[in-house]
Parts: sequence; structure tokens; C-alpha cells
Amino acid sequence: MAGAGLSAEEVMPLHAQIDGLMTKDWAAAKITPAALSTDAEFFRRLNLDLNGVIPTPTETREFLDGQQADRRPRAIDALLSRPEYALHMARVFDVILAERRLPAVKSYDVAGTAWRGYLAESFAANKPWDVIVREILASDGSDESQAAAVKFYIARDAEPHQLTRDVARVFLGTDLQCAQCHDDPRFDDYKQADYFGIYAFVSRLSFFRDNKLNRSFVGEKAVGDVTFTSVFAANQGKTDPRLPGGKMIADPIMEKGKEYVMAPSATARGVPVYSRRKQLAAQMPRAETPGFSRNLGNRLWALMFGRGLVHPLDLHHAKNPPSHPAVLAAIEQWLVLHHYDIKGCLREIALTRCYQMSGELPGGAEPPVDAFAVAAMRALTPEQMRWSLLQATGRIEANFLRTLEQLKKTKPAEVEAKLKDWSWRKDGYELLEKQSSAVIAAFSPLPGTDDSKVDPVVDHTLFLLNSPKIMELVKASPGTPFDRWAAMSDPVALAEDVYLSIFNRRPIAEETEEIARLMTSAKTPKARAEALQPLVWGLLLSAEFRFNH
Amino acid sequence: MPVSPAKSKLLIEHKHDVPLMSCVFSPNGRHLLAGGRDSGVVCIEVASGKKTLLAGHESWVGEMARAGDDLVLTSDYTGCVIAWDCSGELPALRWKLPAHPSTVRALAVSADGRTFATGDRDGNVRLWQSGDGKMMREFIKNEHPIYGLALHPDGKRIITADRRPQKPTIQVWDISSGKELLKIEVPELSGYRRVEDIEWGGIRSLTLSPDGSLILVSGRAGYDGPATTLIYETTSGKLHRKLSSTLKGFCYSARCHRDGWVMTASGELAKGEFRAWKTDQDQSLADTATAGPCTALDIHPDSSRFAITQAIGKGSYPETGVLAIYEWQA
Amino acid sequence: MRHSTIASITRREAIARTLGLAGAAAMAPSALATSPHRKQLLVLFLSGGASQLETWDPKPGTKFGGPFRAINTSLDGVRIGELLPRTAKIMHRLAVVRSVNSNLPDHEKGHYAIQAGRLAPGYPVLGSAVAKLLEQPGDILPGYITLRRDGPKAYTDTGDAGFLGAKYEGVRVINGLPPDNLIVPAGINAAALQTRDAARRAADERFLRTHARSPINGYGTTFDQASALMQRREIFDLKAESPKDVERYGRHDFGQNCMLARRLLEAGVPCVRVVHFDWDAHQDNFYWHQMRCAEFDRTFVTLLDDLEQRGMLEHTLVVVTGEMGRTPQINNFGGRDHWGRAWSMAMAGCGIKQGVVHGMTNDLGTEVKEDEVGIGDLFHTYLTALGIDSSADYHLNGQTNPVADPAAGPIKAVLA
Repeated sequence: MAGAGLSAEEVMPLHAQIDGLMTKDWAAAKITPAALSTDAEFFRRLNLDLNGVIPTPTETREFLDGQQADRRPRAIDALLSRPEYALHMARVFDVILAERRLPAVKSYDVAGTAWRGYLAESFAANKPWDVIVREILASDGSDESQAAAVKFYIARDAEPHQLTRDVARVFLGTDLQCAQCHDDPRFDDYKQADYFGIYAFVSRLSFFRDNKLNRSFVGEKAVGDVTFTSVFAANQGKTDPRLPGGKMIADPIMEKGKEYVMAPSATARGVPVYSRRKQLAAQMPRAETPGFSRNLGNRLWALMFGRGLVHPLDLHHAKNPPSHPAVLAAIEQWLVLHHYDIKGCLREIALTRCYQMSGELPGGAEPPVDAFAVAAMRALTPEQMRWSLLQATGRIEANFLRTLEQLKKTKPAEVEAKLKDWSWRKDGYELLEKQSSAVIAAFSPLPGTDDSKVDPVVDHTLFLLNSPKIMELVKASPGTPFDRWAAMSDPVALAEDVYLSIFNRRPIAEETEEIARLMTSAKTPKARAEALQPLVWGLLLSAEFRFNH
Repeated sequence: MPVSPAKSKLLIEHKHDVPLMSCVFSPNGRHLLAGGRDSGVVCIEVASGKKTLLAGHESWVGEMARAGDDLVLTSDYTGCVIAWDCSGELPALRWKLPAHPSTVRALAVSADGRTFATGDRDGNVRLWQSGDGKMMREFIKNEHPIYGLALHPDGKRIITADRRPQKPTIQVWDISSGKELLKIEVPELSGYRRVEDIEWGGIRSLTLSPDGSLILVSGRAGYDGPATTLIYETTSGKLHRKLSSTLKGFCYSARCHRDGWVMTASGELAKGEFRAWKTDQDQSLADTATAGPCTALDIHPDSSRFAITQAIGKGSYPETGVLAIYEWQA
Repeated sequence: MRHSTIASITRREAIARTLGLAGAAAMAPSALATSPHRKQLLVLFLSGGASQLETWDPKPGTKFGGPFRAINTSLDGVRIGELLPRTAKIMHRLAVVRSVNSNLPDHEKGHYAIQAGRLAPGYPVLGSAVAKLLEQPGDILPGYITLRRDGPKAYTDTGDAGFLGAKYEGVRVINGLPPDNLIVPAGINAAALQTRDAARRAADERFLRTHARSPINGYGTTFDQASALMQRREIFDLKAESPKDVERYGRHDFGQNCMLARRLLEAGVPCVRVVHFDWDAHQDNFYWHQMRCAEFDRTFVTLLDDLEQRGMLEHTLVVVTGEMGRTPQINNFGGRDHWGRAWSMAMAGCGIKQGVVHGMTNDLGTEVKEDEVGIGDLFHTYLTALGIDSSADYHLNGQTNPVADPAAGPIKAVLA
């Protein structure tokens, strides 16, 4: 803990703590870390990690040409304050929390826009993690302002065993599933009792569909005890709700016949006077809950590095300890001291030299992935792939340009305000989202898998090679960067613009030469666009585009 | 003496060392036979409670029925059928027959007791003479396992129930021509889920009203719904009534009392119930909860008593069985 | 070498060593190519967990034995469940292990651990591992293809290439349909495609100069695989099979997928897995197994006959396993639940001793009584049967990882 009277920063800011600890670990393991990244490397990575999309050529130019010594911290702060930060975090936490799961009846799902809207608003306001978790676990779908937060339950059909497993995985970073059957012989610290302790919080829940309102809710009964029998030992245990490492919470004694605010029936979801679900919402998001802060720290780290300090993210146990325990402990402590300030924590991580390291191998050697000694090569997530394909082919800018033009014509007075309004941006993205759902379908892994498992496979590649949807994106159609490129007769300027658009860096000599060669016989704008098209497509197919590095 | 379906009293309860799943009173009512998850047939002398084990079967004894004045027929999972002569002190094996090459889960006897029918897991239905076990004809080759059979009192029709995925089906056949007269699909008793591609539900038993005018099929309403019995009109195939329990599980057996009301026996994973119903109202007349799932029931030939079998155990795994006799009160 | 002494080296091991198979780094694929028949692997995965008591290890007439009989087989003194009558006639060609103790009564963990041969996460599953270990230069088709019907539970696809990377990831073929996007879109000329592909390769080549090789190369491989699949998409075309053959294999998804598996093996795909779904009989186990066994029995024997007749069985290892067995105890819905303590699996073909039953459970089938086999042992056995040194290591990305769990070893009794 920080010394008395001193804030953590006064002791040492988190990013400096992390770098210090990492340097020590590398030295101990005799690992040479990579050099500092180039500005271009850093800027692309930062945009992908904090905004979920590669930067536009204009933004990249501006950053690369910037002269201020503090341009990196400035870029970090700028990206964290954009609407795109909240929208990106909503997508990331949609995957973390709902894991691409859908209820058994798909149409009973919480509307995707409402759910991601809830998350986006939360991240735009930088709501502390404990508050978000409390809202999600407390929601039964009825509170109008946070109705969509019920998605965590609905995506799992409010099925108690699924919820038990995922509450532990998602919020504590531990997988208790095997304990469902017996004391897990592999992981001594995963006790069956822990499993059923969490199960007791959610065992009274059930999915409820209100056909009149056309909405899904979570119903809860006022009764139902949890007993469990080990398959192997003959012992039988009864448990009240209890979080791992916590105390059992006994139900208060209720007067018979007065257990319900609304008794469950065919037409009512069931609202008990005393709710174990609300107990879970109160107990889980606290620093005292072992694993709660660590899990967030680990997930935020994984967001920035593509891999957790504990990896896989949901498998923290004695035999799978963090690769850098002191680093994780420092992040955990910082989160507690700063009331689970997610944005602040990401800022600190982005400020580390460790994050800002180059992807170029130190001395040509490949250090172990869990050393974090070189920027990891990680496949773009399905969402990053979608937005980056759209960005590289100019679709995002074009889309906002179009709506802005329209706005200027119809409501010129609102232009100023709209540009600052993140929900206006959000609506703009929703349109693009609909148009690009095929990319998500082609790149998404199975329900239940997280974003650290999105390695490229041949199906993705076939999509990029042959899908008509890709054809649409790489066609030299009006309103795309091909307009701009076709107009450029100077191959040097052309190469720079193409490379800034797709790879977010300036080309090296041989890359400029390649484009110049390609353009030798293309003298008209039309011919240039045609000649350029396969090259642009080829670059979009390359590893440099496919990976975050 | 008329009895009230709503009032019944437990007379005697026999514990058995395996879970039970079938039972029948002998034609003279002197004995009660029951079978379960082993090859033995338990025989209780109703008056004295004396218990005997009858050997002869080779596997679980899933079905039982009375035939005529003397016989009880029992069938097992290897396809073997045994006729027990119940006219004496103890049932005696009259004949034993390898009726089918595979599991028999459906067994029915004609009203006069002279003919019986068997159905197996491969969908074969065969007709036999009760007296000597001689096959009269190979009747139907259905693609789906047969889980219910009845011979109509008119002597002309046979009714089958199967477990075809998504639409368990009742078929009424003309015995002499072998033609299908009526087909009733019962999707309500389907528990089919595409995920597993398995019919979890299906028709689990079929019985007729004494005059043959109604067909009763039992099972579960959907994948996780309540124990349910559906009553259809034999001639039109029209749904007459749906008897829906509050127990989430299967109705394994329904029997019609001679006075026109219906008894059902049902079970879920670790408890059960039996209920009395009238065929013209939705609510049951009475229900009795049991410790284990009720797996079968039979009404005594004197119509004043009935027997219930149960599977008993800790949690969801049954270890033993219970065979109980109840008496209706006036 | 950890396991064998010089004295006990078999001919196969001796060849493997001469060819430099001792470490994956030194696994010279060119050397393997000199072998007359390339070894192949076919996994028939009974997903959900088949009941050992209704299949390979019947206990008729016992407390938990269930209602079905045991039947004689072509192997003297060996009986299996009556639901597998055709399989019973070819028992002399199989090796059955009746003493698996995986201790993992769980779908997700079981799917991974049984196929990866260990509990530790991050390792490649059998198909991916063998695809890597049997790789040859000039291979263009994916090393591992996995076939299943659509719509089963997510755990069916659990497990992947782990640290071997995308190149060895199983290509999923659902419902026998070839992967999407196998055809070059209309309106693109060959020259443009050439420019596109050259631009990609040039960009990757430049990127490789300074960046980690394995992800870039792994991604590059997906392009080779894509082009191979595009060129050879006819191997997915079951219309080429006669209606009689379609019937012989069975019209259900397992039958058709097994027929496709045979075509893929013939086409030279090294590892193929067919998922037979779903054996998770928590209710009505006996009805359920009657249905599933009927599908399996006929298709399995047809497939094995075909492989034998075409001379493929001698170089193809066939593995029949699920992620677990089912409880001896029968629940109140007549179901059997998850069980990992004592269950069975079977093997046939390449490197396997024929007509062996290994291990034994106790009279009630609740525990292994003799020759207990763990998941690591099975994994060693599969590799050894395929002529791969299971004591070797992978050397990848600066890390050394054992190919198979060093704490386990192959089951000698079932190896030819």
C-alpha cells in the first residue's frame, strides 16, 4: 500500500512501477526487450487498442509530423476522450460480458443496440467497474434506465449453472465448472463448495418472457436451498450464498405469505422481497472479493497486450499463476486506490515503455510470449477487423461526411453540437454496422470464446479472398479513396497516401518503387484506379494489416 | 360398491431391492406382479402380503398385462415374453417366447384375452395367441420404436403409438386388412431438440377407455413441461381432453376405471405423484405426492384398489423400488 | 529419448531416429516422404460421451448393467453390447481399451483434455499435433479437417492448434458442405489476381524481415490452404459417390461425414476428425444409445471395410473415443450422467495390434480394476502407432514443449 499521507502517484505513478518491475523480470530471465516503437507503430497500435480501429491517413500524418515531445501522452489522452473510445469499449465489454452468447430463443435477446448503448454510455461517463458490475448483476430488466444491463443474464437464459460458471469466469477470472461434479482434483483451490456458494446466489433465477411487453426479464423465487453431493465422497453439504473466500449470507426470516413483492406466475416474473441476486450485486464488486480487482487488471492488460498476465483470462489458479505477479499486484492496487477507474488504468498502461515497445524483434530473437518483451503480434479481433477494413477503404469518413453534408443542409444550427456529441457518432456507426455484418459473421469465433482466441484461420482468408462483400470494399467506386488516388499522378505522393491509409505509416523506398512500377502504364485517373485496385487488395490481405503489432 | 376417485388409502407398501417400472394384478386379483431394473418378477399375494420372486426373464421387465381368466403376460428388454398361469397358489410359467429380437416396450391384450400384441424398439408389431404363444401374424413394420399398443374391444382394430422425432404418432389400424384407418400426430408430447437430434419425449404409454371410444396417450408436454395425458376420440381422432399435471416430468402410465374416471402415474427426477381425473374436466380430482417417481400403475379387477410402482433413491439415482397398494374409499 | 532403451528399439523407431525424428526442430519432413505410405489419422469422436456399458464394456445382469445383453464377437471370449452387432463381427480387427480413467466428468474440459492428451491448456489437439508432426514438404491441403453437423453445443469444437498456430487449426466442414467462399468472385481477371497475390507476398516478405515469424507464416499458410481448397473443392462433392454407397454409409449426418472423411483421406488430408453427435444421454439412455449405436455400428464397419479394401487401413490409424464415459448409476429418467473414472475407447489400423482388449473394470463397472490408462497414455499410443516419437519435443517460438505428457507413456499392449 502507498505510504501514509502519500497518494500512489506521489510514491511512483503506475506506469513507472510497471516498467520498473518488468525491467527487473527481464533482467532476471536474461531477456533483452525490444527497442521503443516508432511513432507509426505506436500510433496504429494505440488507435486499435483504445478506439478499436486503425487511424485515418489525416490523423496519422498529423501525429507523425507532430514535433511536441509529449505527443505520445497527448495522443493517449486524445483517443481516450473521443466518442470512439466509449463505442470501442462497449464492443470489447460486450464480448467480455456476453461472450457472443445468445438466449435459446434468439429473438428474446436484449436488443444489441440497447445493450451496447448502455455500455457505451457507461464508458463515456467512465463509470467505475464496480458500479457497472453492480448494475449488471442487479438488473432484472425492469429498471428503465438500465434495462439493457440484464443482457448478462438473458444471454445465458438465466440458467443457474451457466451463470455460476460465468460469474466466476467473467468477474473473478476463475473457472469453477468442473467443481460442479466434485472437488476438482486438478486445482486444489477450486472447491466444490465455492461453486455451489455462487450457485446459491443465482439458483432461484429463471428466464421470463413478457409477451405483452415483448421484453425479457429475470424472475426470482423467494425459496429454494442449494445442497450438493460429491460424486466421490459421500459428504453432502448445504450452502447459503457465498463468494469464494467470503462468508455465507443467510436469508432473513420472512413472514409466511409475505415473501414476494410480486409472486411468480405464468404472467409475472417473480420479485421476492429478499433477493439473493441483489446480494450478489452488492457482494461481488468489492475490493474485498478475492479476484475481483485482479480480474479487471488482468483483462485491461490483455486488452492492451492481447494476452493476460494470467492466461487464459479465466483460469487463475495455483498452478497457473500470473507471469508477472508484482505487475498484476501493482495494477490491482492502483485500481482499488482509484476506484476502478478503467480509463485511468488504460492510460497508465499505454504510458508504459512496455506498451510502447516495438514489434521488431530484439536482435532477431523471439522472446517467450509471456515475457512481454516485444510488442505481440496479435490478430485483429473481429470488431477491429471490421472497422479497420472500413477505415482503410475510406468508408467511415465517407459515411460521416455524407451525414454531415446532409445535416449542414437540413439543420445547420446543430452541426457544431452534433460533432461533439458522441451519440451522434454512435448512430452513424450503427448504419455502418448493419452494412458490414458479414465481416463479423466470417471472423467471429464460437460463443463462449474470448477475443484472445481469434487467430486467423483459412475460413477468414477465403472470405478476404473471395467473398463478394470484400469485392465491394476494394472496388474503385466513387466516394472512396480511389477518387483521391486516381487523381494523384505523382507515384511518390500516391504511395504515401496508400500506405498511410492501409498500414498507417509512410512507405519505404521499395514500396514506393513498387507502386511507381505499377503506375507506369496507367496514365489516366481511371487506369490508375484500375491498376491500384489489386495492390490495395493485396495490402489488405497482408499480415501487416491483419495483425495488431 | 361405488368408490370415490378422490379418496384413497395406502393399504400396504412393499420395498423391493431394485427400482420398479411395471405392475399388474392377476386376473383373479389374488396376486400383484411387478418388474423393474433386473430380470426378476416380484409377486405379492395381495391378501397376505407374501412375497415371491419369479425367475424366467433375461433382462428388465418393462411391460405387463392380464390375459383372460388365468394369465399374466410379461415382457422384457431382450424381447422375451412369458405367460404366467395365475390360477394357482403361485404364478407358474406356462410358456416363454423369444417374441422379438430386441426390446419390447409395448404389450396389449384383447378384450377377450385370447390375443395379444407386442411392439419392439425396431418398430415391429406382432400378434399372438395368448393360450400357447403362437404367432398369428407379423403386423406392422414401423420405422420408429413402438411405445404403446392397444387392441380395440371391437376386435377389429389395433392402435399403436411410436416415438418418432418431433411428431410422436398414434395410428389406428384395421387388423384384417392391415390398413391404416387413422393417424394422429401428437407434437405436444414431443421433446425433440435439434441440438441433440434426439426425441427426449414421445408417447410413453397408451391405453383405451373400457368401451374403446377414447385413446389415452401419456408423456411430457415438451422438453421440460409438465406430465401430461392427452385423450383422443378413437373414431374421429379429435382431441377430447388434455390432462395436465403441475409436476414437471413424465406421465408414465394412465389407466381407466370402470366408472369412467382416469388414474395417472407420473415422475420427475426425484419425486412423483399419482392423480385421479374425470375425462371431461381439466383439473384433477385428487393428487398424491410420492417419495420417488411413479413409474406404473394398475387397477385391481375388483375396481376398488390400485397398485403403484416407484423408484426410490438419493437424489436422482434410484437404488430400490416400492410397490404399493391403495384402496379407494366410498 | 526418454522412454526406449537401445535394446528395445523397434524397426519403426530405428527408422524414425535415422530420419531425425528425435526433436521436432529436426523433424525433417523430406525424410518422412521416403516412407512408401504416408501415415494418416482418422478420429471418430463420440461427442457428449458414449456409455461404455452399452458399447465396449457391457455388464449384463449386474446392478448398473442396464437392460441390454452382451453378444459374442469375432474374438474368442470377448463380448460387447448387443447394440453393436456389426462391430462385434470385426472385433478381431480392433484394439479396445476398457480401462480409461480420465477423471474428467465434464464436456468442455474433456473435449480438450482427451484430444490434447493433457490437462494443461494451450497445447494442440490430436489432429493438429499429428498434422504438424506428419507434415511433408509440398503439402497443400490443410493438415487437419474436422467434420460435423451444424448446431451442436459449443464444446464440440473445443480444442485447436494451441501454440502450433493457425496453420494447424482444424478446418471445419459443417454438414458436409465445403467451406464458404471457395470460388473466385466473378469479374476479376487473372492478371489482377496475380498482382494482388504478388503484392501480398511482397508485403509479407518485407514485414518478416523484422517481425516474429510464426504468426506471419501461420497466416501465410492459410492462403496456401485456401488455394488448395479452391483447387480441390471436388473432394467435398459427395454427389460423386453412388447412391448405393450413400446408403451403405447411412443417410444420417455421421454416415455422410464418414463417407466424406474417406474421400478426404484418399485425397491426402493427413488428419480427419468426424464428430458423432450427440451421446449425452442424461435421459432415456437406452433409447438414446439404441439410436446412436445403430448409426455408429453400421457406418463404422462400412468405413473400416472400405479403408481396408482400399489398402488404406495399414497406414491409417482409426481412433474411436468420446470425451468421457457415462455413469454406471442410472438416474430416474433412465439416463446415465457424466463419468470419467472408468470407460472405454477403441482403435484400429496403422500401428495397432489387432484383436486386443486391454484393461478391465470391476464387476459393477464403477472403477478400473486392471491396467489403468490415462489420457496421456492414449495420446502417446496414438503418436507411437503413427510412427511418431512421442518423447520428442516441440521447439517453437523459443519454447520447448513435450509432444506428449512426459509423465505418461504409450500402451505397449495395444501397439503392433
